[in-house]
Amino acid sequence: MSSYLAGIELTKEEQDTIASVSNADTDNFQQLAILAGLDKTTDFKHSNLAGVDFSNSDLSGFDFTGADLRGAIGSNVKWDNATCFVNADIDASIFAHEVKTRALFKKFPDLDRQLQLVKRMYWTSQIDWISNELDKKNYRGSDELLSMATRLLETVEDDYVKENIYFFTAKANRLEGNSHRNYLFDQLRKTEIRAKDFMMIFRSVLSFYSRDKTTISLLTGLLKHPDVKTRLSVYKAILGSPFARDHYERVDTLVADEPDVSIRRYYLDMRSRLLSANLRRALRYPEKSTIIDFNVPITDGVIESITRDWVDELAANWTIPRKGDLGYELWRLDERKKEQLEHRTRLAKEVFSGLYSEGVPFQLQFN
Amino acid sequence: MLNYKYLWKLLEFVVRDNPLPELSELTTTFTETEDDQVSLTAYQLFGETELTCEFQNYILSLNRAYLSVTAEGMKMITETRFNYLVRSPVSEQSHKVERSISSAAESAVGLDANVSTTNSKPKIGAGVFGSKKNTNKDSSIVAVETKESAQFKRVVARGDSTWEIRGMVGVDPILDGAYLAGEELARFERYSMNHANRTYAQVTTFAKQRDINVNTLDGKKLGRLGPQKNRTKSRIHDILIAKFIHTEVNPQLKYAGHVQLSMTEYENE
Repeated sequence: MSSYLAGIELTKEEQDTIASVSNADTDNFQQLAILAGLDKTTDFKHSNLAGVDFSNSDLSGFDFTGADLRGAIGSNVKWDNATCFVNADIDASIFAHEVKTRALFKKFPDLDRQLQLVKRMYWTSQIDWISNELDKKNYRGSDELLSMATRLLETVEDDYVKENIYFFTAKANRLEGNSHRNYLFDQLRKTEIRAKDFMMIFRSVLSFYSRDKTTISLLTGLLKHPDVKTRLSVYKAILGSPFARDHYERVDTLVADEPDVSIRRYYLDMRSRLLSANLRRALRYPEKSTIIDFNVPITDGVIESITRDWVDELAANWTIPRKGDLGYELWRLDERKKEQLEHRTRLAKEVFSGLYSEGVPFQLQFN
Repeated sequence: MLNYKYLWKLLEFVVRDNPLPELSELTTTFTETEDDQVSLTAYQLFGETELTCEFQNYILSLNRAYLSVTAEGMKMITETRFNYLVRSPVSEQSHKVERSISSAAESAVGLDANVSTTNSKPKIGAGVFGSKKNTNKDSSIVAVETKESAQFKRVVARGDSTWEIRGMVGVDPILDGAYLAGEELARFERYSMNHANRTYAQVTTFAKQRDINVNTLDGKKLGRLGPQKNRTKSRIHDILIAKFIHTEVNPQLKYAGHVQLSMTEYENE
């Protein structure tokens, strides 16, 4: 430590506050803010909240003036007109589209009029009209086009028309790059979204942006979605992407508390792919053709059971040279099995230890 | 230029307030010039400081800071502001283009036309026989070298009598060292030589919470490899620490997202 440093000392009370935040069981933004005793009307001004997960938080009344909210993520996030985003950096965050739309409707209050016409149309005509409408060149920017799309989504009732609207909104990208992607993510994060709508939007996201690095980063905010099927879809999109490695830190943290066994198995399957296809065999349950659940303690017994099954599977394809002596052949087969058992046991242990060191929350209990 | 006969009028700051001198040290000097203006020069140093906590010691540093001047009884002369950037409407770029093309083309095109007349009916037959043997080797190497020279100013004048002091992203993002070493920040002129009986100026250095780096003493960033893995907790932590520093150094002011690090005042009646 440099000797020129002569710093400040925190009071006991301040230290206790820091410790209480440190040791808190929750990672919910709102709960942590309350626990820290922070004032939502002043203490978040000019703050660094980049990449923060606002999931399940009510941000009404929070003042984020001048704050860095870039890449902020979250599902089930509420905010209203009392939430202040003046001069805040909101790029690639959940707030990006909403803030711009708020300003737009203040400026153009007559956008709603045309929608009354659409409401009365037959669904095929609706699609036709919407496609033409969103193709028009007279939109002042992507915000205007996307606001129109939002109102159309609220106007029409047919799900097929709605899904088409999500696809048509890609036209906004010609006015402003990434605006369609940001819009879809804003829609995904809406608190009151139906599961059906979620999957509609999700399909659009994957159709257009599955190979987009930022998309995968934003998707990680949805890993705590209450619906299992939705969560599994999000895990699949993230872990199956070429940028999965960038997100392991976050996924590892979340998957440890994942209640659904199919998601846990899928996660393990994808993580083990990094090692090798052959070694993935070490993670397969004996007598079941599924990947092992990492919540099961990995004991010597489990390892033995896996490797025995593995070697039996290999032995089915062995050809022992026939020398007319059945006793010799059986002895040779037995010897080879023993060798393989030893080898595969070592491999399996390496696989479990390797994955554990990479962050997979195994309970390793073998010697 | 200062006139030495006025040096006796050199007015040292009357209040010097650097509660965290390792993190930020500001020294200012107000001097009367020969044309009855007041010249403000400043020394601004930045570094790291330690924050002691029972369970963890932190190192604080800055990515960016602001220096703000408020004056009474005199006004800042805009043109004299230090690093007052005037953007040229023309941007100069130099391009060096290397292009080498080697081409070897062999082509052969044959044309044969036949016109014949038989009896009264003219019969015209025309044929075009073309054979093109093209062994076209066209390789082009294009090397484009673009040179742009841009000067990065670490101290830039901003609106509202403020200067932004920043590190260069990717090179030296952390503020470390002297960013103002006696440069003249600005000149002021009194509203009226005859009537103004009091001139006052306050220079403050402050940093926004988002520009304050909080690292553990072993150099690890909180929330990544440190005691907390969670980014939300880490961010709340950083806000708390900024707030506590503010309370420590400015107990009379309510925290509003920035911490006043240094302050000097000048008063002349």
